Amino acid sequence: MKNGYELTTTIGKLALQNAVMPASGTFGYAIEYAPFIDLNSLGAIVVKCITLKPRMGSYPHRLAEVPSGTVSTIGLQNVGVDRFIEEKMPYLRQLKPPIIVNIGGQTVEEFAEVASRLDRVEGVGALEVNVSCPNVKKGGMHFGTDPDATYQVIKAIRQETDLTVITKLTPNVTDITEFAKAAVSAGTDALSLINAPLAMAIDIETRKPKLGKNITGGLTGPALKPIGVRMVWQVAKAVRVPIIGIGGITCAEDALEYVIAGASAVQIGTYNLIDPTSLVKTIEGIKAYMVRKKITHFKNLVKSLEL
Amino acid sequence: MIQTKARILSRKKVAKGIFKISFFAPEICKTAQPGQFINIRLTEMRDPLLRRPFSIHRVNGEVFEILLRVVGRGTDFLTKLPRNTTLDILGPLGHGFTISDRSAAVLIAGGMGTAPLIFVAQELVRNGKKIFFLIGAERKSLVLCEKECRSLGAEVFVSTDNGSFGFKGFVTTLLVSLLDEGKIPQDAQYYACGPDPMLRALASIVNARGLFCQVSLEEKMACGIGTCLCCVCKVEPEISIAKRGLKESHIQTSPDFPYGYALVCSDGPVFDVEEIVWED
Repeated sequence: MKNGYELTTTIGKLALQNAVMPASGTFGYAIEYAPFIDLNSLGAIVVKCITLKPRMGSYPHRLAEVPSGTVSTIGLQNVGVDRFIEEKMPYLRQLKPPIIVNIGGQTVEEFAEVASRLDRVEGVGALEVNVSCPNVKKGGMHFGTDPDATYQVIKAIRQETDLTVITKLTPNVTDITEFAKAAVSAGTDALSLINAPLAMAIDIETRKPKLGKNITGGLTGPALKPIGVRMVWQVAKAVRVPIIGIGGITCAEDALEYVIAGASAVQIGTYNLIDPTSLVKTIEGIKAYMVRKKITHFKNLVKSLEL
Repeated sequence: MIQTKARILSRKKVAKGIFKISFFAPEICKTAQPGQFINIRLTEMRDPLLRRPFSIHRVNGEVFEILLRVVGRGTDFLTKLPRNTTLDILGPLGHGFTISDRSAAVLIAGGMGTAPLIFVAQELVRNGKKIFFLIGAERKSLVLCEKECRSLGAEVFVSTDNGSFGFKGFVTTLLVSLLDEGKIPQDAQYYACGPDPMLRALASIVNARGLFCQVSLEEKMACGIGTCLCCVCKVEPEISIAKRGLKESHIQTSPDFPYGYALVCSDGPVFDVEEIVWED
């Protein structure tokens, strides 16, 4: 409670002090942002996607700026689950907000193995299942664009852990509610959406892709918001589990669109890279809105769209 | 490394499309090292979206300068901002040049590569080093900072691709000629910055002659602080890890891969020439 205003929210088994957290891949392993903000003031902390084995990721030339966004491809470069547990968790587990580990895999078995290893690690609060990365040859979006594959992955992970499982959905589909329902039937505790739409940028002087050998990437940043908000609205009508809204959030006003559409929490991704204080400013902005509108409980804002 | 405000004091056009901008930023100037850079937020609006990184060109007291060429919307926007505009900047960022014990220094600048090397030269002067400065440009009107280098006490050699001033040819060709003529010392510390083709050619020369050379690289960046993993460059993993440490750096390796990835923003922008894998 902050001066009579309740900012808390719930995602599965996680009770969050507020609804704002970073998006995976834009916040490293949190320690890098400690010089800029109080990490303990965040609703939760979401770290870079972790896979069973270390991954090199995409070729160099991973980034292009486009109107109101970026097209980028990291390809899930990461240190692998063993080094993550040994080197990154000691710092993370002593932070106050719950730690959400984004996990990836090329096969159902890999997803399940990573989930199983993280399940036993002290300080891991939840798993966010990446069935939506558009920048990998196997895994990622290949699961998230096939409802049965989505179902299989979540079901396999569900066997391995009682931790809160959040399924991160891709917008590169015709009807995202189909995938939301598949994940829910498989036992996901919550959903997060959207990951990045598949996109491309071309250098007209060289007539080559701006992302070099990678050719395509994912679109991120403010350009995404209208799509993300629409999809959160659609999914919130279709399923009952909590939803985390992602896509082009830069400030409290953006976050609130997602919340009103149906999101119980939000993630800020690209905008962290531009302004490291955006998470904190968004938490304060949500509170200021609640004070102005005399809404005392954040939960009353969730899915409050008037039609 | 901090997030702070910097106020534009002056802007000066130094050549066609090339500008020098000075900023009042005492906090940055206090800790800045040669070879480091700053990541500038151009606007509070959403477009241009990403910060733009620039190496620190020169530091004078509480003021630092950047030297930039207009290459796109972001740089164009920046050079049109009025004096006294206050900008949000992150910095100083990255691992800069290491000033070595060797008594002589050879600086090799290709085009805009001159930008970080003036700050290096300032530091070398402070350390009492003998400086040889090679400046390469496409043509006479694009030769940068020649007077400044001389006034710092450096022995200056200029090359232009078209021969309109100084030596005709690439700055790396000039380098070989000066080495062969004994006009610059082989056992000096070399510091270089310039376009990739130049650095590639330089690497062959360094290898062939056993020179000691650090280079500053460039890559498209978003965060600039080592978290988004956009700015990777290929490195020789054993050499890089021996130099920087695996846990302390951001070097990525995998058993199936013959090379590693390092981050230009935080493992670099300065690397030893031997660290970099140049083939594409």
